[in-house]
Amino acid sequence: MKGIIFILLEKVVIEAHGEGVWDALLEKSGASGTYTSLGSYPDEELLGLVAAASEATGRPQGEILTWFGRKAMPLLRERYPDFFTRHQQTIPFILTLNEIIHPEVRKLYPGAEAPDFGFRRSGPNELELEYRSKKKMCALAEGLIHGAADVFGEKAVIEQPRCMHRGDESCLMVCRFESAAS
Amino acid sequence: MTSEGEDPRVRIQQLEQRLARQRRVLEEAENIAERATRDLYERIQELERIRVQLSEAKEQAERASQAKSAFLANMSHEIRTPLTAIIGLAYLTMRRAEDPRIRKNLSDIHESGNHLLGLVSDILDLSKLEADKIMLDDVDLAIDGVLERVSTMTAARAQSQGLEMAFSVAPEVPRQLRGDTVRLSQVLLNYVSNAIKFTERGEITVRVDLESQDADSVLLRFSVTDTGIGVAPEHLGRLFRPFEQIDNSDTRVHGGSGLGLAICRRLAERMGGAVGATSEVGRGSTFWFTARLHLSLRTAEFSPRQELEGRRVLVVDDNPTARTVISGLLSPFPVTVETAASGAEAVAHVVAAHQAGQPFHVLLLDWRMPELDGIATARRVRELVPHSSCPAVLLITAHGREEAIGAAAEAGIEVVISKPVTESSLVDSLVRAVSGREHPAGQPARDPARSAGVDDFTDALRGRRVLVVDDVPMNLEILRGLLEVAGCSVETADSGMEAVERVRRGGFDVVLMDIQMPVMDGVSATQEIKRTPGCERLPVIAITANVLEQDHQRYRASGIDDVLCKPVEPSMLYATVARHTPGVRRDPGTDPVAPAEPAVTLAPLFDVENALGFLGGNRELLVRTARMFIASNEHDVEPTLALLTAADLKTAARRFHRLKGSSAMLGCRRLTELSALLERELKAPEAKAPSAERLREFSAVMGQTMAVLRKHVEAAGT
Repeated sequence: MKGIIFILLEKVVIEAHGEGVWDALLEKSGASGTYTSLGSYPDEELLGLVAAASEATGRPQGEILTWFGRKAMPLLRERYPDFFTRHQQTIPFILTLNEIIHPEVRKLYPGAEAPDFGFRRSGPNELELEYRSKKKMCALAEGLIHGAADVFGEKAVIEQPRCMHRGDESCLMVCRFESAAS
Repeated sequence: MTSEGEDPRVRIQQLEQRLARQRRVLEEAENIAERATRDLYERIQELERIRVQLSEAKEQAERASQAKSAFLANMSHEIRTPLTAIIGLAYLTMRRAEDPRIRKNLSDIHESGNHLLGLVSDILDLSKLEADKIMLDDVDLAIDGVLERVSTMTAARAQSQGLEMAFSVAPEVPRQLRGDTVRLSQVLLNYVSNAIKFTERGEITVRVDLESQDADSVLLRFSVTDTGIGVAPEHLGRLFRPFEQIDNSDTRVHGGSGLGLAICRRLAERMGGAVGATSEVGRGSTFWFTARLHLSLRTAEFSPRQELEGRRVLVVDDNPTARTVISGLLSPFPVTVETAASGAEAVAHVVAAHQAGQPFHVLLLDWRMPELDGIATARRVRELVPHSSCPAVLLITAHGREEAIGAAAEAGIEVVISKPVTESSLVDSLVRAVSGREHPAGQPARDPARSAGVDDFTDALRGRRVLVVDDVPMNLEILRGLLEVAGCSVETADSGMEAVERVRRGGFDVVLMDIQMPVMDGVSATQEIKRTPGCERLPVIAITANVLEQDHQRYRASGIDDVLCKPVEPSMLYATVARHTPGVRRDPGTDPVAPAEPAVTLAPLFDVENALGFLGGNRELLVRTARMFIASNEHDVEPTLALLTAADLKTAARRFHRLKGSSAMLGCRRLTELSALLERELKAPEAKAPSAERLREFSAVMGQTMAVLRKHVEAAGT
């Protein structure tokens, strides 16, 4: 897992709960805590941190990851505004993932394992997103989608009829977007 | 989770842990940054290596390309030099050959040589265009001049195939423009030649239209429409690509390198235009191109408008297109134009106009029309309309001009215009016909349909003293032969050194200078000559197999007055030499080189065979013509001589011009030559009245000729 994810997690946790909580999570999970954006660190460290948070809050790990993703997206917009400013809505933004955003991510962070998504426009405001990755972080993806909707002033309703955690081969997320105002 | 800072010791421990963590982060970040920097450095090194390699490769490619250009230019030079010899020698030998079969063979060699030369030029042109090495002229040009040039070079072929050719320029097209005459003509010539090549019967129309105009330039559209075999739509696009002809068998049937249209496209693009074609199989094609030309600041020196103001013109032709075109050519001028579709209709028109008190001033008659032809129509008009209101007659012919002149002269028609009729030839002839005066510019209108040959230039070239310089003896012989045929006196020099010495001794009107010679080349020799006192203005014409423009510019910069490319086309040679030796006159007393006009006294007084040749072997016609000649000249000699003493040299020159024509028809060659000589002398700048000796000679020859003709007439009468 790339260091940027850990740094984002650190920021999100400290912003929401303070440095002490982050210290405690590190202590509890046994993670090193020495993250730089250019380095790569074991996936287990991230999962360990999430597990520690789950245990501390009593909420499921998926929910923690989703929360993290949603909070991380505004930070990503601050860091990489160019990917966002070209779009007014969430769906067109998400549709640039495979062709533009992830290829650029791989250039910036050599060795990044950014996933490829399968897309299907199932309605004017609806997008089906198929996720397939060893990391099985569909919950993070779901959070990122919510976060993106937040960025574009929309609200996302996501159903997941298929999930690798339920034994399916891939995860399918059916995302409906509506204007946040309505 | 624990809340922060309850116990200061715990708090300090926490902070120390965070500090230690941050130190590790910093250390790792530094390591990563250092690795990245090293990585970056290596990549920059590699990029630099690649950059050096690329720039070396680029230089190598440029050197190779230059070498290729130089090779091409050299090869072209190498190919042109022997071609010069082949074409020139074939031409000379052809002129002297007696056996018609040998003449035919030589003519084929000459033609094939020219064809091969065309291919070499095409390939060179295309490579120069591809390399963007062609520089376009931006000089004053007249659209009519361009059309005339094209018409001159294609008319003979169109006529031999019986094709009608029509040229028209839309009235709104400005006549004085700036651009590259040669390249413009080249594209147009290519289109017209193709049209002729692929048209078996019908007509070829060349139009020039104004596409758009801004403050200082115009976009002109040139289109060539034929009634030929046409091109299938799917093939049209391919035509303008190099090395593609519709099918390869075309090359065998119709000749050509397949490069012509590709060259046209690139030239048009260089001139800020485009090319295109529309076609219908079996019906014909229209090929067009556009070109941007600058407006010329120069105003036309001569306006025929005043001369033609209010004139009434009747255009008679059985071909409706020809009528439309000729009427169209006249539309910019303040003349009233009516048309008639046959001789009979024309006669009715003329008679009616005469009776209505609005007679026609000019009759433009097509020669070959069904039933009443042009000449018969002119005769009928003369019979029916009194002389005072008889229109001037201009005969238009698509057929052999000499033949037409013969027939026309017999009918008293003086002006014969060859098809294709261009605006300038038509207007010149009209002005001459209605005003009885020649073109104010002083030059008689050039006949565009005649391909210029030696006979057109003997007047202009006779007696010119030419020094030909070339290190190749065969080239010297060819040029000597060509120039001597035209009446020049020729000396030769085989090196630049010798040329300079010869010139210093004086006695030349013009120098023809080869460029590439050992020891002293043509450029150095020219500079040396131009430094010689008294020779600064001696025209030097370079003759070179080098065709690159930048070299020609270099030659001109060194003082060379003009450049001819090998192989030298005889008409180009004659025209160029004539242009640079205008009105060179010599005083026979001080000039040992000039021949004392020996030819005059040698020609026969009356060559019956020669006359019959002109008159289609009709002996009766010869007698009638001779009678007419006697009648019209019996009382003409004294007034002509009187004009000379009254110093009205121009009118006298015209008399001699007419006499030259009418005596030539009768085979009175001695009189013809003498008249030509007198005309030439009278027309020269700073002309003086001929010497008394010359006039005595003229009176004598005239008298002898009349006597011989009378005898002939009497003999026939008994």
